[in-house]
Amino acid sequence: MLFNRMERKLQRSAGAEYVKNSPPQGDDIRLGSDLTQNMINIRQYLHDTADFVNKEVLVCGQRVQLLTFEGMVSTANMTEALLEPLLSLRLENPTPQSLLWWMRNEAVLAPEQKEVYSLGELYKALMSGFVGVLIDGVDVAVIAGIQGFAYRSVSEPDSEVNVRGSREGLVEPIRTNMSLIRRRIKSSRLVFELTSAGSTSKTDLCLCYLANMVSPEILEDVRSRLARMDLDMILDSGYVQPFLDTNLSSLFSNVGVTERPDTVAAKISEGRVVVLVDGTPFALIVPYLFSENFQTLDDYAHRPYYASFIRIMKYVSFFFTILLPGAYVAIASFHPELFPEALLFNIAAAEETTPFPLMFEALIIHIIYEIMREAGLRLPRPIGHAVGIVGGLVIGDAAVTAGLIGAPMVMVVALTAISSFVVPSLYEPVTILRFLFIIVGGVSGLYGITLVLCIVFVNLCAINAYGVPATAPATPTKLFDLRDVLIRSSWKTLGRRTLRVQKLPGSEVGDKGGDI
Amino acid sequence: MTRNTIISSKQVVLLLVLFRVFDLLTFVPQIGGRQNGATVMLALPFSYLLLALILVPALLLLRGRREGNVVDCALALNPAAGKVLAALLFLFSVFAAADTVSNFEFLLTSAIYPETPSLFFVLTFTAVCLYGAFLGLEPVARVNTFVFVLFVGALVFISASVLPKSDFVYLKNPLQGGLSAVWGHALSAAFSNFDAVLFLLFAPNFKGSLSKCFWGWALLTVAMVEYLVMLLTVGLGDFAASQMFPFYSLAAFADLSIFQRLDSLHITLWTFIAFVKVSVYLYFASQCLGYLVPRRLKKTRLAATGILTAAGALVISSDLRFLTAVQKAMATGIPVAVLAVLIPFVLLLWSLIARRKERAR
Repeated sequence: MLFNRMERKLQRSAGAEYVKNSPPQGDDIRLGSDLTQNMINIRQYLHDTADFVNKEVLVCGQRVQLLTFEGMVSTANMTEALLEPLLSLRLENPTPQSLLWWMRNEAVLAPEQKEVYSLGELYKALMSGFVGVLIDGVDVAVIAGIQGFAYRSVSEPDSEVNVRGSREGLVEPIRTNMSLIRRRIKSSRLVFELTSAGSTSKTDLCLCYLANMVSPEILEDVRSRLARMDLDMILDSGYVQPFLDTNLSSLFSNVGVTERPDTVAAKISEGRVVVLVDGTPFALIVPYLFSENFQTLDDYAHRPYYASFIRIMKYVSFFFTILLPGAYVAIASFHPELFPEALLFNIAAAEETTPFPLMFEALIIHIIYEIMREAGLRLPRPIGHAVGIVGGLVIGDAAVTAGLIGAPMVMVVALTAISSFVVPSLYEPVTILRFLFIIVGGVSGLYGITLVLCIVFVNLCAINAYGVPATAPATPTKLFDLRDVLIRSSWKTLGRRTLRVQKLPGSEVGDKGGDI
Repeated sequence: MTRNTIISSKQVVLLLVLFRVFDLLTFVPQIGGRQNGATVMLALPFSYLLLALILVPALLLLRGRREGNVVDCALALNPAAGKVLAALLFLFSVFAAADTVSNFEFLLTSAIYPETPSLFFVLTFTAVCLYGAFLGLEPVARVNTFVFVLFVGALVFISASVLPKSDFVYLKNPLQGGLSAVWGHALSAAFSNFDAVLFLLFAPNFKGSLSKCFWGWALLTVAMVEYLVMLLTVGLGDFAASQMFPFYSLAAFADLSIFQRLDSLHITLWTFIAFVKVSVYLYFASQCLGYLVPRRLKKTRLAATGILTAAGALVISSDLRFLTAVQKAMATGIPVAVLAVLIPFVLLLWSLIARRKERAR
């Protein structure tokens, strides 16, 4: 009993995960030729996890273990591609080496088939949906990609809806995403570079780029940033994004996010690097310019005049959503002479009966709106529509009737809210800026708003995404490159010269883009 | 000198043009008697021709050493002389920044926020400009491009509302006061043009020809200012002479359909331009201070520059007599004559003599 107590004390003081009769630790442990010892090591290392499945079969008199994790492989494909050939195999000279030779050179167990020599490599492969084949007498495992785990099928992306564009969106498995991109860029220069990150999750990451377009400096910078990531678990692209962001002190990110493979293909063709993260349908794009938040694929499906109109409207909506409440508070509080007379009387009459100063009214109503928006996101769908009804009642009717807020403020909130959804990728900075402008407008009027705008502008202009100014090509300006910023020029103009992100004005990155 | 921030020569031109426009948008001082608008318009191109002439020594000095400014040229000849020049330029930049902040505060407290104490505007504005200076010349230059486009848009808007109601009869004979009035104004404008010193400070921060950049600045400034003066003259007529802030008044009276009281547009624009101008002066002040204290103390240098600027602006704006005295001091032309003409001329001669001695050896 004393011994057990001492043992438990040792376990606690070690602070690490306790393993009875510690097996060889470390991913670099090589596989041995003794199948039994290999299996002991594997089971112990995996702590006898319930989802680990192994089956020993005799193939030409040789002991062979088939290893997999439950639910990770396609049972039907495994039977057809692996079990049946193995069990019906006849070798003239059946030895472990000849069996291995047959697997290497004659068998086609799966489109992706390779050999691994260490336990770490074997575990990673098994956890990625490979089947492992261990032969008694050889110190190598053959892995075959017969993935069959359940995943969401390719469907229309929820966050980026287009009218004319493709209805395909990225999905969780990284390999499927790679194929979606490959189908759109049938070029030999398209490179997928696989790596992994996360000391525990060992999540697959994939760098996608065109070898003849990408800047080697940008690519190297991305690689080194990913290598410096020191996280245990990577469950989403959001975990990786801050490590790729070159300016964390700015409100605006210079890493783009998309759920669309056609957008990924377009960005890759401009010399950018896209990072796919296994387990998430959101791809990361670097470098990402500010003007790209206002571009969608639909712009290129419409006629230039309409696409330009929509583009300009997006910019106007962006300024509306950040400035309208603050400007309304500022003008009504400090500069009422700026309103036309009729409007001024209406606003004054509406605000006369409300108990709160205009600034507090604006803050309260916008906070209520944010609460309801967040609740609407998290609520189950069947009762989600109730949020809309409550919102309409609470904000639209009850609050005004009760005299808590004025009717003009409801109009301002409504217009602001609708405008914010025109540019969804900027929702985070827009929300914070909106509150900031309300406070500043209520405290110091148009002077304060202008001063904060100065801070926001200079902060935005200071962002250099991987050596490329985030405000390019608007500033530093190059007229020809403005062909797809505020307006969308015709395809004749757009096609005249391929845009390469490292060649934008003000770029500190060399404009090399040759094969690397 | 550490690696320079490089901006394009077009950005330099736009910066200098807007700085000149800022003075016009703020107020037209009563110094030296009121000239009629047409005389000012005639004198302006001559003032830039004169400026081109007086800047020749400085441009020749800098042409041979594009990666440095006048301080670097002086340091190469004599370290002590370089430090003295750096100190002078530091004081000049702080003075110019403080003057701009005080002008800015003066308009705000006189015309828009009469109840608000000056301290609030001076401190908040200086802090924001310090942030801009901290981020560097490049971001501020990029903001300036946006501001320039905004300015042109606003100008078109105001013009559309003012020009239909204008009376060109107010454009009087420019030679009404004689050639001496034109010449006098040209001389005064050239030597009170602080931006000439700033142009020399910009030299290592852009690639390309100094003279091309100068002529771009001169031409665009002349075009802009001529137009603004014409607009003021024909839009307000003799009423402009009685206004402390004529352009602000013009914007207040302008209306176009449902858009009235465009003075809010003026405030926004003018705040942006003031921000850019003060940020640039603070940046260069900090750079000049970097010749006198260790370069690595960037934040300390900026803080010191900001405190001095805010203090100077508070002193100047505390009394209208101080503001007038500052304007008079600028109008004497001594700062520009010393920093942009005399010192570069002396340095040029010195460097020529030094080079001759070197060759003789």
